[in-house]
Amino acid sequence: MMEIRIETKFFKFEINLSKSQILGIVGPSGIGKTTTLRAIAGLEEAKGKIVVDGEVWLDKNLSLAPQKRSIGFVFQDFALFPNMSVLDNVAYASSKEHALEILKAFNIEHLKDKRPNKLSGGERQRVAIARAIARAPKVLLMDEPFSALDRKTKHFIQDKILEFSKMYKFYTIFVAHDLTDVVRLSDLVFSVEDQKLLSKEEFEEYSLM
Amino acid sequence: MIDYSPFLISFGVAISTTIVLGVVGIFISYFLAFNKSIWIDMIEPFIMSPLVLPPTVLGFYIMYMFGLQSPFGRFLNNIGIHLLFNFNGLLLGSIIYSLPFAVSPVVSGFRSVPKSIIEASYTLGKSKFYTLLKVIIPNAKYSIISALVLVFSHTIGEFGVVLMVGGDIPGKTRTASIAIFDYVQELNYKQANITALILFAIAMSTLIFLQILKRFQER
Repeated sequence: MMEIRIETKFFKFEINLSKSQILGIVGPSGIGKTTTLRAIAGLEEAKGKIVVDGEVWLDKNLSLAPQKRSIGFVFQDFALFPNMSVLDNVAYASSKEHALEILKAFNIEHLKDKRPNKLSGGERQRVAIARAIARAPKVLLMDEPFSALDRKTKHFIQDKILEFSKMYKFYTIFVAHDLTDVVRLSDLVFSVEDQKLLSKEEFEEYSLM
Repeated sequence: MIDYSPFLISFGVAISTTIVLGVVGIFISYFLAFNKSIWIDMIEPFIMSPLVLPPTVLGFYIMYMFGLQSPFGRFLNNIGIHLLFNFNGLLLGSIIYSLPFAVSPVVSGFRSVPKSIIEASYTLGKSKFYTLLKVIIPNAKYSIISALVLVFSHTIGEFGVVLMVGGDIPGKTRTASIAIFDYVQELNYKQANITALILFAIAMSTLIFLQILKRFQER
């Protein structure tokens, strides 16, 4: 179980997630969606409580550093290490053998020796997702993870995320603008504007309104 | 006959200073680049002060601090550490004098590393030290190389501080730049010219190297 009760400078965010559950966060730009992901990762200050599988990450007396939180973070600008090959990026927090398996799973094994500056936007995004998953985190946080992907690749990557989230049993929280991505991937949806938590079905109805 | 000893001393001091500041400078730069404390605004001017202070002023204070006139200097003397008028004194003076050249480019280089890749390393469970070694330093390598080249070339031609702290002892503390001054005093312009030409060639080579480095960085 993952329990989050936090308050950032933008809004309150309260949610409980079960293993392998995927939460999509939607809302207009500048409303603090990224700040919420960063607060969960420990990259931004927040008040409240975060407990993941019984381990306290944040409470009144404690705020674990990002290094101590088992997270995989997909940054909006991908944040790949320019000085490393794709393989070294993905193997940064795992082994080379495991990184190769992940690259194969994401169909980007052929990019393994390339540097990030030689990749297209979509390829970089896939590498960033592969890197975040390669360390088998407890929580996968993704900030606009499908923005540079075409429809076919997007669906392939989303299926892979679903597959890995079941395999590794990690909690996933992601921010997206495209509502079809949210509907396709999420079990739950948090609408920041209305401060409402909705099931996938409720959100489908809600987004049609 | 060329006297090689001033060059050997100058090179010895320049290489040692570059090695020491190569390590120390990186840690000081990291501290200055990423620490948001208000104290940084107080510390930074002290580190950068050799850029604006006359070398003789700096040399005088180093000499006073480590000489027998000061309690600290007497304490060092009592425990057998002598830092004036020997190679160690030259090294100490050069390290202090060249510190801004080691720090300033590296601080800029560190600050230009995208924040998101540093944070990505943290979120992948890596410590600040590991991130410094594997992410920050490799992505600021041109700034670090520039800093080391500047330190080397600046140290090899230093005059004021090394004269105040090391004196002018032939074969011991007489560096190439001090030797030029001595040759001119003796009206030995031929030797002064040869020595000056060699220092000129070294200075120009380092500047050309930095220019080439800049081209690589821009690619």
